[in-house]
Amino acid sequence: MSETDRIFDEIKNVLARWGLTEIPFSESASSLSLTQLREVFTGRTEELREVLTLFQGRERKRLMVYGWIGIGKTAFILEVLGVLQRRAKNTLTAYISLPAQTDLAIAALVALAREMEDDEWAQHQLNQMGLRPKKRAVKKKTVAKAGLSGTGVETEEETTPVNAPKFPALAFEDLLKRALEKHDRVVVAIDDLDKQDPARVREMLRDAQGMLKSGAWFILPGHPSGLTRDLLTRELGLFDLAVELKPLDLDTTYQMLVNYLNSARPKNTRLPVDDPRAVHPFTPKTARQLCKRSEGVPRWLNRLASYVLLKAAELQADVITPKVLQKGLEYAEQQLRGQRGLTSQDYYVLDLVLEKGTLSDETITLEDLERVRVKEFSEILPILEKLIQLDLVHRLPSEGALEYQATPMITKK
Amino acid sequence: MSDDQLPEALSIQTLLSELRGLDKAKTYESTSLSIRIVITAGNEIVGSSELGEVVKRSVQKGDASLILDSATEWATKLMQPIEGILEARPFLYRTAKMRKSEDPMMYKEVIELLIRESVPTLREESVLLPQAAAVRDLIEARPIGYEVVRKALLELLRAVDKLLPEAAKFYHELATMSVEANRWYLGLSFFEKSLGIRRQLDDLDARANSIYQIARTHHLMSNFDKARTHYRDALRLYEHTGNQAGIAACKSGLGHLMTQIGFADKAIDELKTARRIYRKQKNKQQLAIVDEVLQIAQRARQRQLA
Repeated sequence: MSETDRIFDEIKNVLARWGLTEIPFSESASSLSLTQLREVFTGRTEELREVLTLFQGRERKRLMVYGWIGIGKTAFILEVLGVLQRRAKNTLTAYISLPAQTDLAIAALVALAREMEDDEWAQHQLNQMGLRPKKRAVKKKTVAKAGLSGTGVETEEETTPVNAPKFPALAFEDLLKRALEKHDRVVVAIDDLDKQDPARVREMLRDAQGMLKSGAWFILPGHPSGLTRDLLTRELGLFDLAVELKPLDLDTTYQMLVNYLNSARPKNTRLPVDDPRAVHPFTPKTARQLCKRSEGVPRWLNRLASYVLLKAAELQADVITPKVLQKGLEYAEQQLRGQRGLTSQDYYVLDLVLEKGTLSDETITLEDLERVRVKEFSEILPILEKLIQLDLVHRLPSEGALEYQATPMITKK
Repeated sequence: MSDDQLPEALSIQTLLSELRGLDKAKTYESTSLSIRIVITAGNEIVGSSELGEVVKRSVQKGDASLILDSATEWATKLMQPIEGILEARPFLYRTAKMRKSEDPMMYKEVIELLIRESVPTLREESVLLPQAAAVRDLIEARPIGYEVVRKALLELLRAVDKLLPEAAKFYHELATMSVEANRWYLGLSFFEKSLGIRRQLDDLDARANSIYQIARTHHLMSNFDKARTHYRDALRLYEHTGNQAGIAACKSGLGHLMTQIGFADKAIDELKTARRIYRKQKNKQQLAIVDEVLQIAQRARQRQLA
């Protein structure tokens, strides 16, 4: 047995001692299967009730799900689509994460076409756009002249059209019409819209007004800024319901931790939340400390729990005591700060955020900005956005100013 | 060519003669061509100050969109070599500061870069690239080449630097006209270009002005987040330079915006400062505008208190 084999077995043994088959935590709900999502999705009862009640009506609606990054918008949207798939009669659901440089109409078209596996038009459309259909592309018979030119010999051969990306010839509305011939209801969710620049999002939504008011239901994630949200709902009248996802309370976060751990346990060993062993290898105390540290943000809980378990496995700890938890949290901070792709200027900005506690476009001084080699707050916005994506910084829900703080994962409390 | 460009041009003429006087003068054509492109574009830009008036008159006649489109197309072509060299500017400066002992290959890269960035058509590039190679050969063979190319670079950079404020002003004019013609996105893109150039210069008031205009345009488009941040960016620079008119304009804009998004107290603070400055400056027109917004903000605060 090689040293590598030995280490692999060692880690597996630690997980087995914890009663886990794997480390179950995941930063993004989109990487989970629908079954896994069902197992770990926690809370949001009121919000689900609000949304699912709308689906009892006949008239189609446009819904916006908004909240800060990592709050669980994707999980919420996927959970809603999942329940519609399972329980709603004759409903077609489509989900897409908005690709860069793509407008909403094309994203919706692609999402819908992918779900219409038996529709030749839809699959041909995907093929024409250079996207791989779920099913093999429809083969097209073309007549081509073979051999030397001028011989006049014609043979038939089957060719698949060349997959050059281009604008679709079929509009979303055309495809929707075809979908509604077979289904009573079509629900399209376009995720990650909130990761775009809010000004650009407004422009995209304005451009897509016609499509959004067509015969499909739409679920879109909203930018967390209330300013943008209010404008979209009030000024454009685009959304019938805006559902806010807030951080989870401590008990729900604890329940989520249990659900994740249970999802990695054999079915017959899963334990209810009130059993102290449900959080093993955590103790109820360290589990609560972890939940508190994550401030009820699912993505932070996932990241922290994952790093803490990795560190505990490395230490071959049977139980995550407060000391092991501390080492795990330090490891998490180390890993987060050492993420690839961070430049020296990114670190300058991060240090400034840490030093200031709250970095605000209202109170920052020119001297502060010059320390990070710029003269405008706008110049560091792309860096702050990058730090947000990497879970190093988060934006505060203030509407009078742009305010940023380090996440609790890198601030020692 | 305007009078203030004359000494610069003369100096470049001298340099060109010097280049021609060398053994293989023709091989320096690539450098001299780059310089000529910059000068020509510069002359066009300096001459373009008339453009604003011409377009404004056309706007008044109701032909705004057409004129703006042609002006935009023309500007894009005109600014291409300047923008290319602007991109390459830090690299050019670094190379121009190098001593001959460091890296002769850098000069070849510089010449190729200049041609790539400043010569828009492939035809010209294909003619010039072999010449760039010849420059490299000559530099390697004759140490004197270093100094001449280095001087050429410095002259080129001086010429570019002299053009920058004009280029920024040119974009600023186009942006203002675009916004006036309700072409907001186009206007924003021109303001951003103007700001991009002004960020490389020392004139903080001009830079603040570009930022302020970006804020106003976002404000017009109801992009409140962006407008607020840009107003504050411009305000910080105006406060640093002590530009009272600029401070008042930013405070007035911020006050208006804060009223719109429901922060009446903050709005009143900003508007009162703006009013104080406008009073001091006896700017009745702006004072009237600020007073009107202030009344709205005060009414909003009363409503909030009630």
